[in-house]
Amino acid sequence: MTRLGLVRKTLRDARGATIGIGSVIAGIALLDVLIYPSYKDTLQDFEIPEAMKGLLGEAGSIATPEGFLTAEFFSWVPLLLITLAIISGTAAFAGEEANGTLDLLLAQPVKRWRLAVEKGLALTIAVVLAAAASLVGFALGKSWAEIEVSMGRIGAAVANMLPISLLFLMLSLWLSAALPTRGTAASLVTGLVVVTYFVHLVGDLAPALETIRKVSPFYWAEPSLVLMNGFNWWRAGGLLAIALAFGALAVWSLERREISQGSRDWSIRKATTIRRAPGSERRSKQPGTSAA
Amino acid sequence: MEPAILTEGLTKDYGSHRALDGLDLRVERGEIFGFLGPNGAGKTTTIRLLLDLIRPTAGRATILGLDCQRQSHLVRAVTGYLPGDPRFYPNLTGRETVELIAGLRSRPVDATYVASLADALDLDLSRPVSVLSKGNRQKLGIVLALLDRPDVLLLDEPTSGLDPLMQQVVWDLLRREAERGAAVFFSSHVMSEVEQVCERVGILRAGRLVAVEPITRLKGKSLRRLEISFAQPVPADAFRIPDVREVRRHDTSVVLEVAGHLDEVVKAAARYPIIDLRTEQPSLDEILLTFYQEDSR
Repeated sequence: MTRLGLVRKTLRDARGATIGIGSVIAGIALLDVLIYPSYKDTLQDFEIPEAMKGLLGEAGSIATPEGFLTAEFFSWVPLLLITLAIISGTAAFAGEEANGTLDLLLAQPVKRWRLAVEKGLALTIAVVLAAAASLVGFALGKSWAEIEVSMGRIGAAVANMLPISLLFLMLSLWLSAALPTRGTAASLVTGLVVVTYFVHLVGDLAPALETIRKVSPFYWAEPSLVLMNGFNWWRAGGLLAIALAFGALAVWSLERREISQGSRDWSIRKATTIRRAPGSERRSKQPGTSAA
Repeated sequence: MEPAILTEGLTKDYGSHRALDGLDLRVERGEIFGFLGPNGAGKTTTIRLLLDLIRPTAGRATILGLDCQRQSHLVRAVTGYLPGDPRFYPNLTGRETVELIAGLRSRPVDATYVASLADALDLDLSRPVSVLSKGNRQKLGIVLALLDRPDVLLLDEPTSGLDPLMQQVVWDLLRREAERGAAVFFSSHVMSEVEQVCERVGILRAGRLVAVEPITRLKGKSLRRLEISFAQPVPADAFRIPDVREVRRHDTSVVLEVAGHLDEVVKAAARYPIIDLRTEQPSLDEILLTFYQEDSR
């Protein structure tokens, strides 16, 4: 087996979650395209509640194909990809350490940065594959039902889900390398996802939130703009740059991490205390060795 | 020639707790070195420092002249490691685990050699790791540690969970590795295994190296128990001698614990008519106890 074995192994570990989430995403894509023709007339008169308008992004109306796909798919499906990213990203180091298998890998002649890069690469592939599954659903749906958005624009919107998913993947990897437990890392990333998603969703309700909204990565991953205007390289590039920075921090943190064997052993306390016995000898020394 | 393992003032703190305190140690190539101590004495910490899984607070270590921190991946290329509690990916079989690790090793792995190892250890590599018993997981760990015939073996309690017959097999394997020039460094708190295979022993207590001795000398300087039966009762102060402790006295017999040589005890006893004299060979547990006791003074 070559070094690629580690990439394959990581992909194999993430296989269940990738197939599961990919299948769900493909199913939702198929369903959305199939139901749109039946609902589009009804949706003309549907007034989306003010608090939910963030789901539409810049599309304006849910009756348009762009508005419908944004509200029903692209506004929230990235959360599923991000879930995959958090599950597999936090398992990479803190999870493997808790399982005792990080020991197995790092006792081999593998440089830590290389382990981080190979794991990051494998999990990026997993997220891309899960996102790509939606293309199957959209293509199947478009072959049976009419929706006035080109496959190219849909493909661009699918690709647009990746930078934000990879950003949270790399953040998960970093925290997995930096924090002692997988639970802590997963909780922090999940909390950040919830807060930034909420800020983006309600951001345009109050002018006071407008600036804060721009801090949310979901603002920069706005899918409706891509569906209407095509892929925005600047926005995607910005998110990918942040993802890369988190990836670099993951490498940096893993290089510095003290690897414990299953459970952290710095709780070890003094060994058994035995009372002195009379007449026992002093400690010994011999050439080449010394008693500390 | 560079020693197989060299540590100088190797120290590891976890917060305010000192897990390893200025360890100075030298292990030569072709040597089987036992590292003895109770749980928490610092044995595992030492091995993990050598592998750069954790970083020292002070001091340094080298393996075959390679710095364990700065050249850690080169160190691991020449080192085989068996952790105290080997864990593997439960979704892989033994063979897949071997293939995964073989792919990460620097040297080529000989499939025939791996098969012979598995054969000697009576290990079925086709079974999923998740169904392996503790003993079989230990065997798989041993196969992985010996996989590419490394120059240095760091083994944390290698026979833990193995039956006596299998322990013999492992000891034979380690002897063979030492014969071809590999240094075998293993930690243990199982004294019988140290007696079986080691040439020298380091004794660790609460992070401090208490002694490094050839196993034969270690036994010589240890506590031993002496039971002497006299023809008549002997005076109460008959054995008031340094390094001798009277454990029990019953009518005309006395049980003594002697640390070190027996010369003075025998001379003291010879002043009275002796009917019987019995001495017990100390176990290594008792030997360790001696060292722990003297170190805690």
